[in-house]
Amino acid sequence: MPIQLVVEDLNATLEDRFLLRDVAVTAQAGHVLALMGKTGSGKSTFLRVINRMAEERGVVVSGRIMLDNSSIFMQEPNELRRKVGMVFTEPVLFAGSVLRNITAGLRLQGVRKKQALEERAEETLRRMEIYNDFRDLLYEDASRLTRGQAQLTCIARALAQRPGLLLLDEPTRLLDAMTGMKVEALIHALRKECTMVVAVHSPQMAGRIAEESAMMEDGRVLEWGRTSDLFYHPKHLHTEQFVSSRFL
Amino acid sequence: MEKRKLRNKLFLLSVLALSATAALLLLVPLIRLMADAGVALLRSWGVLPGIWQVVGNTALVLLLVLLFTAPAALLITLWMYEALHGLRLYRVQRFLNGLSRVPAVLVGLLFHALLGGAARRSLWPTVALLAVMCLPFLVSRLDAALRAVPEKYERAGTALGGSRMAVLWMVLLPQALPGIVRALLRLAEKVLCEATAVLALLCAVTPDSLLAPELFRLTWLGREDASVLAFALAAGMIALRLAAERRWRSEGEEANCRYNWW
Repeated sequence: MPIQLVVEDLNATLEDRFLLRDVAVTAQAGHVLALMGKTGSGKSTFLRVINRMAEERGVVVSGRIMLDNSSIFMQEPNELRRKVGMVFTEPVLFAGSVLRNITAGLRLQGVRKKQALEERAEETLRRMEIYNDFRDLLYEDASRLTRGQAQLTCIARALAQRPGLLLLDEPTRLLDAMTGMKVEALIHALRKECTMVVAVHSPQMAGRIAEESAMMEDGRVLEWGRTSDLFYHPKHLHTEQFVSSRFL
Repeated sequence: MEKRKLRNKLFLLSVLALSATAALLLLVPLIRLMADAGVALLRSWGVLPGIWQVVGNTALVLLLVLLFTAPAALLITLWMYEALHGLRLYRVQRFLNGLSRVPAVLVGLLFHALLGGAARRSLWPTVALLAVMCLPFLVSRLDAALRAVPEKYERAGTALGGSRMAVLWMVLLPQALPGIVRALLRLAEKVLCEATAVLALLCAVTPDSLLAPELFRLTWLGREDASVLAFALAAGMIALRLAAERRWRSEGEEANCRYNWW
């Protein structure tokens, strides 16, 4: 089930250097929130703060991050990460078959029954409407997949744990246009199942997939709101430049 | 935060201690059994043609050394990976590299001084000597193999909600498998090399030793079969080296990016 994400007064520092400052955004349950901004603006850090991976690297986090009215800081990190899936820019496939990759999260939690793993993989691929494309690949070595197939496998791996919130860090940046569109269509279809926060590398992508968008710059959220508002009535010069792709 | 770090450290230490104890409890009787059987085998091999006895002795020693060294080295490597960072890690790595380069003859002499008499009665001294000698070598190779796994795999495993140990066993070790197999092949090659030197040394100083008497006679008394033995050993080592270098090349291209995540 999709869950609501509320972030207030979020600050993150690494060795006295601010990575995020006074961040406040909300992603409604079942919506897509797009994070826009240039490289180094804090989009990836924000995603890693939400699933508490940043803390493992020594980042000190303060503020409120609520998932359906429950603070993430009150939850055990590994438990939290099972509810909050994450997909990275570069598809990372583990050694072994495609099936092993899709069910990697379950196996890491100790699920060993082959039949249960196969059923979950099939169910996930059917939900993503790509089962017919992957049916014959399930027992193939994952290293033989194309980059696009690999990214879809990574998304399936995250979804196989049935997360309520999915974080996607520029998921289409390394893909060709056609595969990128396929991933975007998938994001569109998945909003019934989980809320998504997507760091995007182009404003056009935010316009196509997101109900809400946030513009980030130097670890701050310059403005956020409905995507159409940001595109047609930007309040900040940087937002206007970004959405119109006019950089001075 | 500090409490969590302390708890993690205690957890790691207890896992290490438990694993080491379990490995020893399992391995010691096994090694003892094999060593006893090996001695009986050595005696029965007295009637075999010279070179086969040497090959048999060397293979038995190799097997015993691998049985003892591989699990111990793997546990030490995992402990290093989890517990050592920065300068401490660098120092330990330098120390291990230095140890792995000590010439076999020096170690052989030292052990002969300590255990020379015992070498006449059992395989144990040779196995212990080679295992101790090869442990730093294998640990440094396994450490390199594990650290050559790009950081992205660890990150992806962690993002799936796996515990630290689960990510280590189910994501990082399979990813490092080519490097691990390569390290084991290099170890086998080293044991074969070192075993020859050590056995020759022990035989030279204790001519009535149970260990490899044929090797002693072949190499020190100038039989013609010595050249056959030399060729066989050289061919075996070249084959192992080729297998290690070509078939099991590890992926280390992103190893240097490991600590530059932010």
